[in-house]
Amino acid sequence: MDWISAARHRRTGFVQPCRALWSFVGYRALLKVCPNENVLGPAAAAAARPHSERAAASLLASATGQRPKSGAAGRRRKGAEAIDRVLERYAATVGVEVHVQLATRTKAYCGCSCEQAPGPNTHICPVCTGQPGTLPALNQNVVELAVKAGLALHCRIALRTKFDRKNYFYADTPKNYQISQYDMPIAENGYLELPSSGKRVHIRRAHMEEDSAKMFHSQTAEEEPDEIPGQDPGAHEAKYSLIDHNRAGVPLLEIVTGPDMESGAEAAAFGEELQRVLRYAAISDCNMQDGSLRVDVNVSIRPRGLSGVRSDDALGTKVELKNLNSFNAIERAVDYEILRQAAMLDGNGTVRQETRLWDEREQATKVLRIKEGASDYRYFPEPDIPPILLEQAQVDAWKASLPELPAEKRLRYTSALGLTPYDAGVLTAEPATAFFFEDTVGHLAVEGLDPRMLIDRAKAAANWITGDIAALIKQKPQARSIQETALTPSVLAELILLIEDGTISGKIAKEILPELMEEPCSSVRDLVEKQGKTQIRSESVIADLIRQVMREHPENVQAYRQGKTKLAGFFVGQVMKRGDGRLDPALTQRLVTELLSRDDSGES
Amino acid sequence: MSCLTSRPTTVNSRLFFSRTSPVQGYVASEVHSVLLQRPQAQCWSCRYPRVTEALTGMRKVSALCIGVRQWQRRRVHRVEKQLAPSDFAPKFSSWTDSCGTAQYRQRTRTRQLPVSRNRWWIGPKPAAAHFASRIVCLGESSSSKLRATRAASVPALGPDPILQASASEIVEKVQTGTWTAMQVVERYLQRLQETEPHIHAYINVDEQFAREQAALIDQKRERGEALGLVAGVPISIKDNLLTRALPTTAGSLLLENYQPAEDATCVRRLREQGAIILGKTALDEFGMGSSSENCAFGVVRNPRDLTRVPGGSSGGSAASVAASSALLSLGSDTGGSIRQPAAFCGVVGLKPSYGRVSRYGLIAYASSLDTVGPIGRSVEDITRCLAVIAGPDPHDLTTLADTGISLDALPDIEEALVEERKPLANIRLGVWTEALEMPQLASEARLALQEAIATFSSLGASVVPVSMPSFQAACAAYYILASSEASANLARYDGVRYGVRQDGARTAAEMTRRVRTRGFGPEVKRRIMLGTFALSAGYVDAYYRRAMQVRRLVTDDFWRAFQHCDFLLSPVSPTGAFALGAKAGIDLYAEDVLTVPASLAGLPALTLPANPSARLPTGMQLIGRFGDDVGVLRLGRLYERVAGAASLANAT
Ligand SMILES: [Zn+2]
Repeated sequence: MDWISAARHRRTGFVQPCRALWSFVGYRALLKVCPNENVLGPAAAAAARPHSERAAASLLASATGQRPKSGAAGRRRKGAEAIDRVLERYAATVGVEVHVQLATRTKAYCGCSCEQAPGPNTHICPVCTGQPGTLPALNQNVVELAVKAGLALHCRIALRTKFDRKNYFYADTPKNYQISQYDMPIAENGYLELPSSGKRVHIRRAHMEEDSAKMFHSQTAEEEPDEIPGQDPGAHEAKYSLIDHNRAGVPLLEIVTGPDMESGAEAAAFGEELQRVLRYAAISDCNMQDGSLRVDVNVSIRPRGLSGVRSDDALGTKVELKNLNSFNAIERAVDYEILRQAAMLDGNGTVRQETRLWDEREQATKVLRIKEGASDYRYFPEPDIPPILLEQAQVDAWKASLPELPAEKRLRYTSALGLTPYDAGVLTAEPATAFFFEDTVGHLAVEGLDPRMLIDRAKAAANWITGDIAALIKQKPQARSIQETALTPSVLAELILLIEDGTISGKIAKEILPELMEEPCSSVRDLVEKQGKTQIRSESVIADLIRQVMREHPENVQAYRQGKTKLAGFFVGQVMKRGDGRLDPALTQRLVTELLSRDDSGES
Repeated sequence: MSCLTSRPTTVNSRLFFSRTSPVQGYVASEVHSVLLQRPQAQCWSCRYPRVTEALTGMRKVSALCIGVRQWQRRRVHRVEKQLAPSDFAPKFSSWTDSCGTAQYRQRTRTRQLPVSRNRWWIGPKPAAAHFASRIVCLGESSSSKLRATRAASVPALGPDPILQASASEIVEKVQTGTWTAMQVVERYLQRLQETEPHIHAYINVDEQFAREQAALIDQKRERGEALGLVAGVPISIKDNLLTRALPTTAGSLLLENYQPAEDATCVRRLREQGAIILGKTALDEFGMGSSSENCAFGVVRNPRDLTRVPGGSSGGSAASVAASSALLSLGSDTGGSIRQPAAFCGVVGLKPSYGRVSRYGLIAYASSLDTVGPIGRSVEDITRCLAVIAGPDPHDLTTLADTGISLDALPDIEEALVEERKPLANIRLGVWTEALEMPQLASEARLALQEAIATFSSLGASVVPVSMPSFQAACAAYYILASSEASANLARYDGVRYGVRQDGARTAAEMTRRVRTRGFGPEVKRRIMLGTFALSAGYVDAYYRRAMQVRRLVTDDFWRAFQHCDFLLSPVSPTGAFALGAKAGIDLYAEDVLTVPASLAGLPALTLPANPSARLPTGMQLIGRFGDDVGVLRLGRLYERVAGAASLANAT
């Protein structure tokens, strides 16, 4: 894409070309502060890396030599024993800071669209580009979604809240301050329960803020600039930078947890559960790839047995991890960091308070910047947005409008529907799957049904969805969820009922399932009847087939009658084979024993 | 060491090595000079000590102001001399010839703007005094030179039906076709050409654009369509209000070529109602100043006395109205920027209640204090203007829900005057005693105010003395709060998206530093640094939060005062219009001591001349309850009628 001309494009004529000949003095200053650290590149970094860090890297290399492909938080990774050994001696403390893009149609303080833009600087206006004289007009939906998120995370909602200005100079911040919330966040003091362990992770606060613009740094004037994430230090040699304001002013919710997690797996599990909750409540898309869910993690370790008091000081020196683009990366980065810090402490070193980037290619964290105490953002109340007063009735209404959340669903599935915790977990992993399952169960739950019967049917539905259907979806790269297939809950319900009343066999059902997922079907019964796949339950038809087999294998009949009753299985198998799998298995079984036991030699 | 310098090293290292450097964009010496002040033992605002804890804390705030004063006196010359040769000299070289600012502007504008717009730039023959004013602009306050120069006075205005017509008369005559809008505009443009070389009220005038607007109105009338509430009224707009048709500079070099994408809400409303914009008026850079001497494009003179300042920051607006080069003007008032210049120039100005008029399109200085308001020749005119611009605006969340004013607001005044001998019988007029007893207040000014009080009394109002002792602290608090908000509001001028970009920077931060160092004037830098400092960690409690407490106290004081009276009367400025170059720094800050309290409390305040016939009239300020804009306008109108009649009677 021609970024240069695209950035020059002026839709409304007020944006000057977003092109500057610069690089970043901030990073230069950093170089001065810590000349040894890795802001130059991998080679220099390796040379400069302290010994203990190299030790940690090699340790991790052995620990994570074989990595599972999918980020399986909660499941054991191969080689995780190294972590376990370290965690026997050290206690790790992990806290998470999440930025979530709220799923509003327009930006937080102006009417620009939040959708994917056709080109750079197309979804912009005087407000979100920080033109003089413009004022923010708060999008009501931002407050609604933020409150809903707070409610979904069991937070206390502040009925009186306000916005603050967070001041810092950076070229990607149009106003050079961010409209955020400082001392009166909209939601405080909640928790999120991890599905696997039931552990409650404390949510300290959640507050509304706005996103900044996206920067592109070019290496040379001719070359097209590479996209570089905001935290990337590679900008220090850029010839010029371009700014795309499409993201500027997009509403974000920042969620901060307490230091309650103890491993990479837990941090990843927290991220996954948070994503699930926010997706259920339609608060955010929570796509890590698109950046609508961004997770930063704080990791510190301390020797076990040393601190009985859980004060922040006693937790060890905090290191912040950034650039975590998947749950898998979260898990591995945290584990790497635990190993690195343990190696430092083992070598009688000290852990520095710093921000580190996860390098996916090298599977290691690298220093971004050293923290010299807290930054001074000079917060003060935003004078352009009056304090927000919410009515309890409004909050209650929003609470009532929240759908059932995954934790509640899991509880209901296991207690009321008798599913296993594993099945409940798989079914609630995606809202689409859970809704499909519940619709199916809805079709199966007819009035006056025996509750035990319903449990059987629900189990059957769960087995279908988590088993054959999930396997078939996995084979098809174009369909990512059950809702994108032709299969509908009513069809699945009908299928289950047809099996239950014996119209078709389970085998036949498995056979026609791919077809049902490919093409819409109005009635499964019509389909199987048309294809002649209904179960054969006529005793005479089955008896004929049995006699046929008995005639062809008289020696086996003889043997059976002499006491080798195990041969019944042989006859059933032969008969079923001839019946194309359509014979009623129970009936066939009964008739086979009946006919074999009866001495009807006279007939033959 | 003082509280200001307790941690100089820490502060400095943070200033220069953190990514969030508070005063990014300034040279080290400037920061040092702010931080290394040793405040004097005597406190500027403690002559009215109060036991309240917050006010005791204001010692620190005022100490900070003293710090600024010290800096002003001892260091500012040195700092600016450092800047001047390298930064200012190339650009301002043409200022050494006799065709100062005007030529400079002409040169830059013709380069920047399309020729077809036929923009007209003012001042082909600047008076001798220009030279001195340029020096003031550079910060070298050689006031002796200024006083020595004596320019010709503004051409006198003979009997002239168009120029002397009120807004309602113009609207009526344009509607009926007695005058065409074009006639009105041509007369005003002619007047503007006569007066502008003397007063320099305008930064930018677009004659062709004014004629286009007039032609549109005339066409509308010919088609028989109804015209707006201010159809054909020539107005000037302070240059910190966005106009799509004309560049908007806020009086700053940094925004020299800034072309807004849209009109400010108030400007749009005026244009929808048929007002004709003549041009943009000069102001102190970003509204920061009380004399209109801090404008990057020249100094405005008071039409009543060319050796004196017109007040500020809406000095250009007030001067244009006083010189009859506009009938009405839109100004902005943060701490007195409408009221003080209106008083200095002997015209009428209203600072409406905070939120009465939308701020959307007003280049923000201190968002929680900024208001947009009208300046005009009479209360009647500005009421008409306010009725057009007031009202809620979805773009500004701080606007009040009700419009609060309509054109019916005034007629009953006339009826009351006819019918009742004592129309103010139910009104309690509070007189702010500390303000009237200020030693700086000239005796004739005090006399004029006392006569005005007597007039109100004769109309039946009961006069109540009211004490508002918090006002000295209010001024210090105001400068802390306004500067704090300004430090954030002005952060966006980094040269990245707009503004005059400086070449040659190797890094973004260096570019921003250059843009801001060269683009901002010294007063703006001073306030950004002051505000940045007041919000910094470790100081925010002593300064910003303390100032917020004082703001609450001031509001409470007003609330208490309004238990005993319905309106408050006070002078506008302690001294009245002073000579060009006579005041700088903290002396200039003290100019706002009487206007700032109403700003902190967000109250409506009307300024009108107490003795309109005097050569330099004394300004009288009428403050009302929050939201009672109509009340102060009615009271003002009543006074205007009575005093006007009296002065007519005296003349005959
Ligand atoms: Zn926008």
